[in-house]
Amino acid sequence: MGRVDRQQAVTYGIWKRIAQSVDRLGDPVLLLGFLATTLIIALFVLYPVIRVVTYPSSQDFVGLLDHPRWMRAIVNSLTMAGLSTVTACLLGFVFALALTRPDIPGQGLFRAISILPLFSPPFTVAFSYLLLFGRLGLITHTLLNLRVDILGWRGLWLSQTVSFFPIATIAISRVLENIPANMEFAARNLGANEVSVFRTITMPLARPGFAGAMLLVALYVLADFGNPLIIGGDFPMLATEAWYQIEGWADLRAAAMLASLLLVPALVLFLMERRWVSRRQYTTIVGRGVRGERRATPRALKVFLLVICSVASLFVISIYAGVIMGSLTNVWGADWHLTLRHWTAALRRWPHVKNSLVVSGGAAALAALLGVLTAYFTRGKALVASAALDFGAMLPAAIPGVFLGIGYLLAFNGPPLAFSSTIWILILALCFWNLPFAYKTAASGFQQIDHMLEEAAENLGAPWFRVFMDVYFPLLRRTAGAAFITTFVNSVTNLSITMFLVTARFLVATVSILALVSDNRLGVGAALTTLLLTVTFGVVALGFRWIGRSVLVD
Amino acid sequence: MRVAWMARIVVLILVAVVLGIGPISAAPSQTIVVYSGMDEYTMEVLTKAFEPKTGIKVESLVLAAAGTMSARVRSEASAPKADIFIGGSAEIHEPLARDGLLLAYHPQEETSGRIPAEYVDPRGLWHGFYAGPLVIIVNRKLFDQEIKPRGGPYPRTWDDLLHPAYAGRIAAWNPATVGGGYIFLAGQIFRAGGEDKGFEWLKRFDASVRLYGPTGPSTIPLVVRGEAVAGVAWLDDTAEAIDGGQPLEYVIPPDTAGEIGSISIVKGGPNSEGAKQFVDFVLTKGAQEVIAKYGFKYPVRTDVPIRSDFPALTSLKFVRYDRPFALQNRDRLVKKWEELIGSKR
Repeated sequence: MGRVDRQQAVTYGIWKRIAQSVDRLGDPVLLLGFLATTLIIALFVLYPVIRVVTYPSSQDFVGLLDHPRWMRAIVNSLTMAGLSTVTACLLGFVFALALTRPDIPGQGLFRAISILPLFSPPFTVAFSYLLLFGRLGLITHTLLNLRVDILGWRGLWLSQTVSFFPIATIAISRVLENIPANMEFAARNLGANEVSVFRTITMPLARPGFAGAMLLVALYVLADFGNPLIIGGDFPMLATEAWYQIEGWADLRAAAMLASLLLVPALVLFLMERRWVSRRQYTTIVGRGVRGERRATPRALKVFLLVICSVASLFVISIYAGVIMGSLTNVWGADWHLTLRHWTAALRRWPHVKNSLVVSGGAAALAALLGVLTAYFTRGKALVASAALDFGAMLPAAIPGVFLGIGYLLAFNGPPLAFSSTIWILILALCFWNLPFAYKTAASGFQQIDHMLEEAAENLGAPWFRVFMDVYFPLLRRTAGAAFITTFVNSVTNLSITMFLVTARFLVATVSILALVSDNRLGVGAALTTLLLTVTFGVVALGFRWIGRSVLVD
Repeated sequence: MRVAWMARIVVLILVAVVLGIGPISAAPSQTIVVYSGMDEYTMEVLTKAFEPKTGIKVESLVLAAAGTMSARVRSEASAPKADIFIGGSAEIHEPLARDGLLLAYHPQEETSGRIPAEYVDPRGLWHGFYAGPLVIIVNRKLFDQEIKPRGGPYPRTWDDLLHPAYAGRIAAWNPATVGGGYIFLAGQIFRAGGEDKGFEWLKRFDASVRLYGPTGPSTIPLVVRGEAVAGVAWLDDTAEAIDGGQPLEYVIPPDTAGEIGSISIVKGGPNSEGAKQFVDFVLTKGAQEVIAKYGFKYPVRTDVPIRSDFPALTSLKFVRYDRPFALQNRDRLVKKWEELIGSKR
């Protein structure tokens, strides 16, 4: 009897939610927008994935299980995802705290440092790390006369932490920024000390951002192949094994299988995030113009933040100094004479840098727009269909770049959509690969906005487009701007996708750098990396100036 | 404010659209598309010689990663975008040939008697256009510091690398991930005169190995940077690195194995006639000279001089490399290596 009751209640609940969905989507324009977004994501995300997953036969999957190396790769991938994610997020959290407290000195430097690792094409920075800290490294050997062994999982751990903490910093600091100081202020007035303010106000409000950051970083670590390739030595991991099967044996089927295996932990992570984070709603922007002064940071915390950030910054700076020095040194480790010959060779490749900028700019604009739109359609948890859209938008985060690259080639090389020899395949692949970040960024922003604002606008008779444009977009300018910048930088530095999709006519800088590094022309590679870094940094500096202004004021 | 924000996005998208579409419409009429696993400089020199000679423009995508290029040819099979796939050993071209992705062609030069039969595929699906042996590379400074004092020999033969002084100091390739690593493995089996003896040798060699590098170019930087004292590499990569000023020495050991650098025509590519002309061109005397001189490779034509710093090809002692056996048993031997050696590390 009780069971039947419960079943009825569940059934009723589902019907009620569907009814609510229909109600919410009653506006035909809104419905159309929702359907269009869903269709686009299905075509450009699900379709390539299905093409790749169905590429190997089921026997290939069975045969895979008695390859001891690949079994080890599974274990290693999961272990590294755990280790690197935790350290990257902790470091990212420390940076985010330092950046969002106004009384920490050196914030400009820390802000720059906290995004710098995102700018680096995977090969060259891992390489610089080895040049500086390897067995004959400039710092470890020549200067300190140490004999250290950084190849293997420890070196990989460190370089992944440094590579991916910026993602955590951006995600967490955005949430911290949105925590209104007046809440903390009120808690203090009620007698709470710093620790309990942190524990009861800051931490719970930061949790969606922190968990979201963990999810994203874990997925990046799982799909990472640049770092394991250079630093990992012969430490098998799924993403690199997939790549080696292509690189060494041109074995697309084994590669597709190994990459498909990566989807499993990625999906688990994805479901965990939904259970843990998405259940709770935290509303802090209520449109009622509440403000409060942020109190001075306690001394102990200030010192702690400064020390951690300074050490990390020093490390990051040395990595980039290594790249720049490499571009000016005749032959690294053998002939330390300064030379400009690498630079003249690198400048001849300017068209490749230009291609990178065009492709990435297009991908970033599309991703930011699509991310905000998708987040707008999925923000109401009552929508049953929004779960599918949310899933589709997050799915690319689970796909290793190499895999998505092959997927796009397989999916868009022939009818119904054949554009694999045009620049569009690069733009679209990079756009959808970055969609999770753009979408997550936008969704976190939406979570901070009170529904009352929207309802008020609706009550005043605004159609959904007006609500979107007049209420959400202005509030989300920072969010969308951050999504644009991150996507842009991710795209400029991407190698795993571009190396499959570049055509003879649209060679991009990272692929050009890879060709140089493979050719052992490290100096030119370092010079071209420096050139790419400088140009990208210029573009991003402009972007930050633009979104840095206060949003709520205008 | 928000109008400006939207306007900026729209402008950015429009710029991307215009820049994206612009160059597509301006495609030249007579063109071939080349996917190249060769080094960039040699490719550039070849292109500059080919274009004025034939009036055909070469658009090449150069990645010194033949496996990646081959995977790309495979993934584009339904609508090929490339005409030529150049570079990489015959081992990389053969699977494409078996799956019917390559176009058969018999260039005149192959029947002229100036190219030895071992470089010619009787079906005409791939065409050997250079040769290269596996070599031992050495970091002299580290050798003097770490091997000499412990009584180890300078590595003149593969067996020298088994000396205990080399324990954990050699950079090798992983046969599961590197084509050259498998050629090395098979070469040792043929040298030992049997599979069991070959694996016996590989197990002893394993004690000397610091790292089985996962990619082809990985061993040279490891030795140059001192992560290993000696290593296994291809001659052309090594000679090029030395030419670029890298502190490196090499030895071509007796009974070494080699690769047959190949070129093939992609079936169904946009310009197969142009592709045939390119294959003809690569086998001409002039092109072979360029490949020998700037590509640091052994030409396949007997009438083309080799680099003065290379020993004559005839003076090299190659192991009797049974290529059909090696190709057929690849999966089994790699798995055996995994079980006996790879998974024990």
